[in-house]
Amino acid sequence: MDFSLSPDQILFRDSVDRFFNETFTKEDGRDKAVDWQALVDMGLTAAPFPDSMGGTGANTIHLMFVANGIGRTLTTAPFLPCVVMAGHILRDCANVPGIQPLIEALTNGTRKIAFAELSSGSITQTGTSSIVSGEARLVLEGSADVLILASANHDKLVIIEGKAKGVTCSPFTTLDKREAADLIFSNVAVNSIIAEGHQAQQMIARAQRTMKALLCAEACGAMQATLELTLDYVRTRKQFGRPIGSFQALQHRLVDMRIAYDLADTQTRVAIMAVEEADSPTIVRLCAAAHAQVVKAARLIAEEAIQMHGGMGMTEECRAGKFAKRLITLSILLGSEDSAIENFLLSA
Amino acid sequence: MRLTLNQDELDFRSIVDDWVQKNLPDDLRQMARLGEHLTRKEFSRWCAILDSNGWSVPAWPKEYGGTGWSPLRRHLFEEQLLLSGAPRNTSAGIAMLGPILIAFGTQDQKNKYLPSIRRGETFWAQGFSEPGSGSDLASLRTSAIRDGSHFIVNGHKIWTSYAQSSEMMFALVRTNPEAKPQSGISFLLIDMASPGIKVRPIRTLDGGTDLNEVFLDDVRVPVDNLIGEIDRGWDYAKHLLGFERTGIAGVAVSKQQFFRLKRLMSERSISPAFRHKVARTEIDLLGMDALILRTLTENPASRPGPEASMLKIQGTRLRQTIQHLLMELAGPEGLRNAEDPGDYVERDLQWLAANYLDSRKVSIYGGTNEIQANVVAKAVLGL
Ligand SMILES: Cc1cc2nc3c(=O)[nH]c(=O)nc-3n(C[C@H](O)[C@H](O)[C@H](O)COP(=O)(O)OP(=O)(O)OC[C@H]3O[C@@H](n4cnc5c(N)ncnc54)[C@H](O)[C@@H]3O)c2cc1C
Repeated sequence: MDFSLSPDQILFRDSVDRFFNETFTKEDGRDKAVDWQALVDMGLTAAPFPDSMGGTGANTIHLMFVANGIGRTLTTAPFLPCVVMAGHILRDCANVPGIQPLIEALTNGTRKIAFAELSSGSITQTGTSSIVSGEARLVLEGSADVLILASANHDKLVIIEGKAKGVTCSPFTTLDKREAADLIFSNVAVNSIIAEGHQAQQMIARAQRTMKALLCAEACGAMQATLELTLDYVRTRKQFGRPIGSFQALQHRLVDMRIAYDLADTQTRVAIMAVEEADSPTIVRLCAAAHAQVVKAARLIAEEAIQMHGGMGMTEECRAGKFAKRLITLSILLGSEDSAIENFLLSA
Repeated sequence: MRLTLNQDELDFRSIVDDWVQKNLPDDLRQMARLGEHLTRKEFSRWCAILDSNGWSVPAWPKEYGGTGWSPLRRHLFEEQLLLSGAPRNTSAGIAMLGPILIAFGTQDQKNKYLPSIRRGETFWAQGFSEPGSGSDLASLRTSAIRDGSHFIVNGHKIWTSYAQSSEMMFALVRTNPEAKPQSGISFLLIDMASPGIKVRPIRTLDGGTDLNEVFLDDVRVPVDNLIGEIDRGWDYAKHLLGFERTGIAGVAVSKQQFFRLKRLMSERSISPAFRHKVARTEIDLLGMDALILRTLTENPASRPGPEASMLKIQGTRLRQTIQHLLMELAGPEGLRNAEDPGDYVERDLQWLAANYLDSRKVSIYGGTNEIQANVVAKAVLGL
């Protein structure tokens, strides 16, 4: 393994870091539309698409730096659901008629596109068109303008307009204040299937694997920031006439947090490399390993950060609590540590 | 040593259970079951219902409306209430101020304040912590200066639970800035309607609204509202922190939450790995239960000592583990913000993530687990 970055990757990372640090400093009352536009202006919504599709051709390693930045600054703009998950499927279907305009709309920020999968119901083909009936629960950015919908067993992929007749969208906010929705489809007519069978399944599996690795990267960004702000806090907060960071009872636990973060971030990088070098035979195993380490470290760091902030850590205003909620949300999206270990076992 | 409770105690549990089934209002039962936020309104109502049966302040002596039960029986009572589906009946007035007044208050103070606490009519806030004085409580700076028949109080309290809905606050204030930190503090009862008091609510990370900041600006407090002697408040408070600590081990809540977990598990398909973790936790719960019962029965006459801090540490860890298991059980449903969960939320799972977040407080309030560990290291282990 070689963890060194190429000059091009360093340049990209530094400019992404600068962008997040300068753009996403103000925490509260941030306008979601303005945040999204900032990502568009920075060219990040074009990231996963090659030149030929009007994109910037970023690879998984580049995307990792973006996901780190999102986690570090608690950005709520839906980069992962729209650009990574939906974006990768669009990229892989780019030669299907009607897809290129969607890539353009996503890239220039005029339309949001999200990915959803049916938890019940089906997509039925009737001649040249298809009918969708069923439900998709807990869809990130489910109120997007356009949905890429997969059948429950992933063997069909269709495009549905969010406002199409027969689509009921019931929005909710997530624990970390992002947008999501439950979707009900009743006899929604769709024009064409953009991928099916084994090909559709492969495509979805690939996009989901990339998504998961980047969710890990987002969590690493959030963990890094949580650790930093907790260190700042214990250096400045005084009790008994000295900084609480001078108590060894806390020092040793902060060391444990740092070790957990280092492991999680390192194994996430390993997973990112595996995803980037898509033919690696150990990809599932390495992704499961990263997943397990991230979920474990996220819990430790979130809980300890709150604890070390004392009463302050329990407040809604406190950054430690906000990061904790982001880390919990990401852990839920990734799935439990048990499920990661199970995947690890199955991949052997 | 004997494994089972005697028939008397078993009968007692079923009497409590029968009574709760008959007297607990459905809406309170529902709120407790789902883990929703309870406010002063609900607490007061439940307290008044318990009082109608003489059960609202079981730990107080009989002459003040208590039950005269042994500590064991009180423990069984609190546990049975929760296991029968009721919300807790704790408030700073019942759990903290009551015992202090009974031990150190004048007859007038007892007559004036105890009955309305017992009936759930007055709510009290605990004004101890300050922005600069949490773990190091003895460094508190809110000052009270004698002016004829009043004290003039100035300062800033924080993390004051239910201050926004309390009629009264009992507070630690500095009356002698020259003395050693612990020796210059007095214990005052402050009417929250006094001019000069401003309460600012603080929202918690789970969306709760119990916490507040209390600003005191030239607040006049009659000298009759002093508890015991001037400058002796720290001693009274220490008596009180002891009370907070035993309750705070919270084994009754842990059991209740564990049964909630088992109930939800019985309605779903559960992975073997999750079952394994739940079983591990159940073993710890059995251990905690046994530890509590041992404390209550082995030397029933001895006063609670620093060992209570160990119960708090272990009890709060257990509780937090159970809340985490509950959140994990919710799976992706836990993504929903309980306050804006959408139309298709599964009601049984709605509050699990919020309850987990809320449970992080139990290792912080009533003396953080680090401070408890310091106490144990020094007073129990002799280090
Ligand atoms: C939900 C909630 C309700 C509360 N309700 C009330 C109330 O009604 N009334 C009231 O007066 N107070 C209340 N409190 C306040 C509570 O008692 C304090 O938060 C607590 O004592 C910790 O103080 P602090 O918040 O200032 O944290 P700090 O004392 O600043 O502690 C920060 C961190 O440093 C650690 N630390 C501090 N000193 C040491 C040491 N010597 N060794 C090792 N670690 C150390 C702490 O353990 C903690 O992890 C409440 C708190 C919460 C969270």
